[in-house]
Amino acid sequence: MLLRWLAPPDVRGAMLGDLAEEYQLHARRSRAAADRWFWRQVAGSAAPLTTVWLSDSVTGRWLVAGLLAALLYVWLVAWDIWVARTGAGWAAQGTGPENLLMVRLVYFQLYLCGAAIGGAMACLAARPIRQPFRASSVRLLVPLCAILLWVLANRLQTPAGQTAWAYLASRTLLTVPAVMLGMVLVRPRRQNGPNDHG
Amino acid sequence: MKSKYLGEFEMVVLGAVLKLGDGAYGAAIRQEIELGSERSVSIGALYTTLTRLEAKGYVGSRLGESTPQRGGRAKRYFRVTDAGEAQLRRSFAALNRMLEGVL
Repeated sequence: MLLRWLAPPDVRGAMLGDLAEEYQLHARRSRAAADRWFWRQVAGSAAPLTTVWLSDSVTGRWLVAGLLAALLYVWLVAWDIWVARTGAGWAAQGTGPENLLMVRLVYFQLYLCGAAIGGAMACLAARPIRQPFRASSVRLLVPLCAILLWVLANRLQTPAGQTAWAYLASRTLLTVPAVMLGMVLVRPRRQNGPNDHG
Repeated sequence: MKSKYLGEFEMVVLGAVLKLGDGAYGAAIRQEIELGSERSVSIGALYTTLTRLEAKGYVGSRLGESTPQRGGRAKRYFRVTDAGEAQLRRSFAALNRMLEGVL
């Protein structure tokens, strides 16, 4: 069942047929040995087939993109909380408008750095995927999923006194370019190399 | 994207397909590798590699006959293309050059 789901569609029938054929051969000698052989095959096949499924199937790519976007979002929220707490400390040191402007400037600089680091982390996390990251649609799906999560989460935590959509738009305008910049900075530059392993 | 050289397992798989000739289908290739290299190979890892090699143009495939032992499923026969054979020679030569004087 697991192999049927994970196997590439064009070789699925042949692969399951090979498994059935070899199982019959083993079962002639011993049913128990044949069962053990079968489960070893399933266990050994799961990892390579899952890797291919994650990189080649639409569902697999969305799953990877969703997980990476969630990781990115958790990182940005943690960063946001840390900066807000530190910023509150600076703000308490002075009450003038210059101090408030300074706090906001530092806040946005740190926020952009956090988004860029988050994008870089998502890009690096996607490297183990078999296909080159730049050729993979995951690269496009991650920011898309991040924006969706961002919109959903910010709908719940928009500060009082601000227009929800203006707040969301300003946050999105800040976040997406910074995330993309982080992803571009750590993208693989080498196009060819002896990096294929069976 | 084609790599300059084949991976070690890709070389083993291409070698097994070449050795089996017209009878190279999944189960036979898997058994040939297990006998020849004394290593355990899962059918999933084998098909993953064969699919990748086919995408690179190093092997071709055709559907064959089905048998009751296979639950009525057809065999898929593989053959090494000219490009695959040339790439195998190139990768093997590179490995030999690398190990010359070491082993």
